[in-house]
Amino acid sequence: MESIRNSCSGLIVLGMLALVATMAPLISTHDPVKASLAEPDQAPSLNHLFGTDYLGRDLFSRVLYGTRVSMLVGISAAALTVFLGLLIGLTAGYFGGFVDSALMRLVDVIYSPPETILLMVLVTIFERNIWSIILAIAFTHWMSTARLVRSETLSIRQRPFVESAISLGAKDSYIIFRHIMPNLLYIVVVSVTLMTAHAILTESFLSFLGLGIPPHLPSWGNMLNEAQRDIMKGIWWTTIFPGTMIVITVLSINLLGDELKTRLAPNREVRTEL
Amino acid sequence: MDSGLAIYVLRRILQIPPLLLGISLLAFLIFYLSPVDPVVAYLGLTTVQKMPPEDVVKVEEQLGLDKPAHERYLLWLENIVQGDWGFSYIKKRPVLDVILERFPATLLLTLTGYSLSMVLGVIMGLASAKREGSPLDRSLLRLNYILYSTPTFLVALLAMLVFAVWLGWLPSSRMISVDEPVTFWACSLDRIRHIILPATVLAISHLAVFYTYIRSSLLEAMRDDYIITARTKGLDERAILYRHALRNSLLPFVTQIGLAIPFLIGGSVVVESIFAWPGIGKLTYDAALRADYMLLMGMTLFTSILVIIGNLMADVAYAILDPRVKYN
Repeated sequence: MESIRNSCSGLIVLGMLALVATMAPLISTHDPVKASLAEPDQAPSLNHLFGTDYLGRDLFSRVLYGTRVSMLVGISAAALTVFLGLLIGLTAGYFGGFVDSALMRLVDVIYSPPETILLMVLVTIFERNIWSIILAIAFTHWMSTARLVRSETLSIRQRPFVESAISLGAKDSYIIFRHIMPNLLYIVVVSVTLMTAHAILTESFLSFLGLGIPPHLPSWGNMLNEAQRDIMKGIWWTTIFPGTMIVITVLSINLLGDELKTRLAPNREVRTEL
Repeated sequence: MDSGLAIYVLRRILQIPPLLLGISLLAFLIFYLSPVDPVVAYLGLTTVQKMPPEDVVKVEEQLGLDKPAHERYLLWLENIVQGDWGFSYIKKRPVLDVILERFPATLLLTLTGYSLSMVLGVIMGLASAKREGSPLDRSLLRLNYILYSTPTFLVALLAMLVFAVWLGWLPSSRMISVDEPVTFWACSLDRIRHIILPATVLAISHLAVFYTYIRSSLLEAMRDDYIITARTKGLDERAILYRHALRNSLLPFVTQIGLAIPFLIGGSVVVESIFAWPGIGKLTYDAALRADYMLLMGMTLFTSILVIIGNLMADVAYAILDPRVKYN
């Protein structure tokens, strides 16, 4: 019961965040990028609900607009990651042989450097914009989905209904789209959900280091990057508000993802893999 | 050591060289295919625009960019074999020297943080497993879930705000004070004061994984046959939990140490950058900010080697500890 309650509250919070992201211009009280040098570092007040940053920009409005950036990066990166993993895992598992071993060696190679290091290397070589961050996240995360999809494809391929389809002369594309893909749907659903949470964390981490979203866009990570200088002055609101938003968002997506996982994954081995 | 295990270990070791070659090719290709001009990344766009074209060509020659791809790759491999791993632009020194010089600081920080995390994880796991579903267990699980969704840098910023700025108990950056004390005891105390915050943050960042692992393996052990035997013998619950269940759950836990390496390196990048800790995490960050390609390529290879060794150790330790494991 508790898990259902948790995932429901996760869903409600996510719904609210989606609403906030779409309605940001209506809810925000100030222009999120307009500096007001007359009122820098203001503590939260009725005029500035979350206070202002070192340039006098309204933090409440910035946090609202930050929802858009995080959601966009999180969902697009997750979708691209899982798409890549599905494509490569299916190809390896279905066609087997040389293709399979070549692709799995590629997975081994990309798995070896720590994710953080590979990410930092990748963002260095691209020009900094939202899409290069999404690409970098996808490139460093597709491997686990690919491995799982491959092993599932291998086991589905050997089931009687696929064997009979093959013996009836069904084409590869028919078998892949009619017999294998539907049985992999749960991996896609669960992976996209959990990956969204991870991608939001990754984006905020890169932006925090000053290697992510371009600094003129109000993303939560960028705000925390700027908050670093405030810490020494004892200013807490520039850290607390964007930070709390990250935790709330990631937490509710994770709650939802875990509930989906327990409901959709057929057995324990798959559940730990996901 | 039986021959099955020896063959297994040997086969695993033989897989490493081709893997390393693959990683070096990956690292090289990333930079080779980069759409950003290395000269611009190295000197900055405004400087390059002001330079006469023949000077740009000269810099390209210095960086070896005028040669075809395969020659550049082979040259880099040659550097690796010769043991200098290329030349770092920002440090003006051989890459391997720079990495090895910074590595001990990271090792110190990571080992301290990791041990702390392990101790905290075991304590919390025991508290949870003592009574599954108790209010304590449920609140620990919730706390763990929140920790799992909190980025490490946020924990670091908050820890810095509270303990370094508001309370003023601990220093907020570097490994030693600028005016390092002279006496041995004062100097040691100074170092300990500097490591507390970064190590604790690193420990917290890894705690969720440890706690979940210990809790579930303890609970699983508590349902095993030998625990039922111990209960029917009339042993009290404390003895069962500490002497039987904990011992058996810690055994596979040892193998986790090797697998934690990539996460520890990831954590050290964040923690070292925030607390200005002079380790390889900070080094990678500086290299990324200034696009020091050789250093980044070297770091990719170096950290991959650490990860591969960790994985190998984990698998071998598991094979030795658990006789049921089949080698294939």
